[in-house]
Amino acid sequence: MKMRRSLFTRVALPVAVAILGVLVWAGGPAVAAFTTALSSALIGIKGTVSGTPESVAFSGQAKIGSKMVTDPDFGNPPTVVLSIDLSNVTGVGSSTGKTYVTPSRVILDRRLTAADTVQVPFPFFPSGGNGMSARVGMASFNLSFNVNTGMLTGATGGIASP
Amino acid sequence: MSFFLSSKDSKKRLKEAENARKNRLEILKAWSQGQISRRDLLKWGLFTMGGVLISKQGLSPFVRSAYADNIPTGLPASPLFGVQDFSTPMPRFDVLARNPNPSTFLNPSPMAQSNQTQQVLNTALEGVVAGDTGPIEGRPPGPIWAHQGFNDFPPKIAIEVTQEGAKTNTVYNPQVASNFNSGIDPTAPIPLKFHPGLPTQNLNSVWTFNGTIPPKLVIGRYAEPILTRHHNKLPFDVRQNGGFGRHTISTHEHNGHHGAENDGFTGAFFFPGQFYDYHWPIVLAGFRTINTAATDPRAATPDDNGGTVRIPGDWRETMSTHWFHDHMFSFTSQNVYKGNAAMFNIYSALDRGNEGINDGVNLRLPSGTLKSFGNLEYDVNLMLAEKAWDANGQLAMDIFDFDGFLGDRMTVNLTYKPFFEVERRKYRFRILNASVSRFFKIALSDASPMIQIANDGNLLPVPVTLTQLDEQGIAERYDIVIDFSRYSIGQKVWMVNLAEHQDGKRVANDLTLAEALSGQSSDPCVGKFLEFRIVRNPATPDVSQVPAAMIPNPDLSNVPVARTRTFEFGSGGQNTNDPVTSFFGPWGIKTDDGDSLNADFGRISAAPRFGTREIWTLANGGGGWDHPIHIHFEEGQVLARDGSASNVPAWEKGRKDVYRLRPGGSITITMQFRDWGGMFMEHCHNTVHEDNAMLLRWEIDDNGAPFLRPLPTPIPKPQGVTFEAPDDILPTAF
Repeated sequence: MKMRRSLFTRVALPVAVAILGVLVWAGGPAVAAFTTALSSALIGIKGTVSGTPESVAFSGQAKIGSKMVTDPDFGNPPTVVLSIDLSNVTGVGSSTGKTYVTPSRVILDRRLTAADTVQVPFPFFPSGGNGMSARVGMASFNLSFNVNTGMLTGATGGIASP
Repeated sequence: MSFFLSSKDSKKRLKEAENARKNRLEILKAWSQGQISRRDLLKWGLFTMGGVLISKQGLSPFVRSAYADNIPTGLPASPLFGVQDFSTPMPRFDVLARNPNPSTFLNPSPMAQSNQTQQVLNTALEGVVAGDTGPIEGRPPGPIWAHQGFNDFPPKIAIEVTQEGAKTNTVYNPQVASNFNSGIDPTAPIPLKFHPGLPTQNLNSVWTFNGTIPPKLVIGRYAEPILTRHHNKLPFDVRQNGGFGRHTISTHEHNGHHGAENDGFTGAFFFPGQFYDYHWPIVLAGFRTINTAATDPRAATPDDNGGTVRIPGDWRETMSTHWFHDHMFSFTSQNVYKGNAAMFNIYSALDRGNEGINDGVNLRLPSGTLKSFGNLEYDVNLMLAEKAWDANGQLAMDIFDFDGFLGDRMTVNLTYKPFFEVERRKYRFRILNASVSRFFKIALSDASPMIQIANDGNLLPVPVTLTQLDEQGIAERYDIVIDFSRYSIGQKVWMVNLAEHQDGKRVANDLTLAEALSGQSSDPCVGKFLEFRIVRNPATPDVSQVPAAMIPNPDLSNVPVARTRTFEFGSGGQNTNDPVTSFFGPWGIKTDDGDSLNADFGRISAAPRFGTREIWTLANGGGGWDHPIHIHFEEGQVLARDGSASNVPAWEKGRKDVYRLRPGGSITITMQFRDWGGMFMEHCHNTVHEDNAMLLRWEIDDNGAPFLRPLPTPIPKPQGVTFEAPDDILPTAF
């Protein structure tokens, strides 16, 4: 069995350093101010979620907030913090005419790309009801960003069954 | 880029990575054993000034290879030894015995002041020579560190627990029948393995409470003070640590409303051979000024007969899900990762742990009905933590990446990707993120709704229905309810992690459910990690509820704001160079627009006045990382995110004790400082950041005698704790 010699015996330590390391001194991460770019969009969204006890036709406005954050300290690609709020989207039951609501809001960290597709399952239930009876629909968004500024430049969306 | 190598990588590549890991572990071992200091590493050129290990092939597996710059150098994946996912049951927590009459059960009896009875010290302890003696209790001596309120709240329950190396559990007490524990026979010995098919952990590979798994759970209730005697049975010789972990410990009850002497202050650690008595009075905050006559039925605690006993304090301060873990200065990440983490369920009239009692106060959350309080049949603690192990299957850690440490194998309750059998009804899950640096984002595999009922230790004002939880930072607790009645017997559904990491700084990408389930992520901890098997109908109807209203926030509008403070968390920091109380590292905190400072538990950064309310803004100093910031002792209400109240999501509208800043973000909170005093902490709970050195001390210290202003700093040694004056007091502290 091949044995590895401890690097940290009293004698071996300087040798180990010589073997392992080039004496490199470098500063920590550069202290640089990060930048943010805030943008938002209200987009019309609609679609039908089928299922029992009835299909539900949704419509309304989805509020999409976008915050791009740069990383000058480590030079990593910018992050986009997305907030997708569907609380102004309501549904109507196909057979009962009941109103359905969703409290859905999600917050996502996403990589900044020119085009991003985000699918957000959302719970919904009859108005006045609660989450114990919730069903689930799927909202899908196609988002466009200016990768130079981090601004949200376009958004479309739709609702369907999950 | 993946931070773990695939088994398909070249042999040369894998060998290089394995050598890098071994080299780093050698350094880590020497560091953790005190053979070398971080300053030594700097001097030798192995660290940069920022604290980052130099990017040299063979030394840092997280940097690109010197042989080929376009090849990421990752760790070899932790071997699975043929173990399949979801092939073993998830054990419920192991409930620690509740022993009445602490004064007679514990020997010696607990005392208000630290027990300074001398014992002969083991010469393997650092700085000890033959014939040296030291106190049997590690709590600092004297009146300042005496248990506050010890006579007013004498302990009624004793919890006696050890910290020790890995051993087989022969006294497992899940406190539920086997059919509520996926068929696990509690009488069968449980060796310390992360899965029955994985190797048994060596004595010093894992250090847990009582040296065993499953992780431990304390059951408590309001107005029933607990005296937790924690014995340190770790090796006397600091070198006997299996390569990482420190044998000195300090136990933080997260987030207890107790005096600071019971908080697990980072500089109040104790040594092998000692114990530390932690007195947890379990009182409602505001008990000195609100509802002092104990007339409010909502401010109450369960008795043993299905009723309640009213107690002083503000019922809106009722807490539920806590945990406790090590807080050893600059070694918290290693010790918690090594197993020093347990949970603590606190029961109250509101959160009774009995779903059947309908008295107009009890919220009747999923739990059970057999006992007056604290039923666990349908109330399940989940401890999430990803681990890594070496080629021999022994727990492994690499703390030389100061971005944070990420493991590559998901565990729940310290079991690798287990399954859990459930009935067709509602369950409450108390989810703790017990990782070192990883954030989770949890969904169910079929996108079914979950109802979040609590955030950290506090039930929310109203439940929040979600198909995916928010990112859950390290130390955050999310209590959720899942209704399995929507499934048929025989079906399965999985908990899924959506948060993809590339390093320990922050989440790189929150994946959609489809993306996470696709198996395409380079992060091995993305995807399914816990399988629910729906196995039967409940024997009796599910009478539990998720009420529309739970616990509102205390109304502080009439409490004047005494001060505002700002804390910015970022890279770099100045150091006070105190060899005992300070620590050098790449992370620091700016207080009130001052300099960025490294951790020094001898420095006072803030000192709110007793009985006041303040507003604190916690800001992220960078865009490339996230920090889950924990403030000890006090629960805060979130007033704003990025300066706006409208940015506060529904699940953060209760009280909290850990605040994720988000990249480039800020959060504004308000807290009251009352009831108890002493020195507490504020720090990043990415414990690698905390240890390197994103931590500060604050204190409440003008509540009259015996407090001093400022408080002296404890300096623990095996021979006893001495005190020294604070080495720094920031100009805006007082």
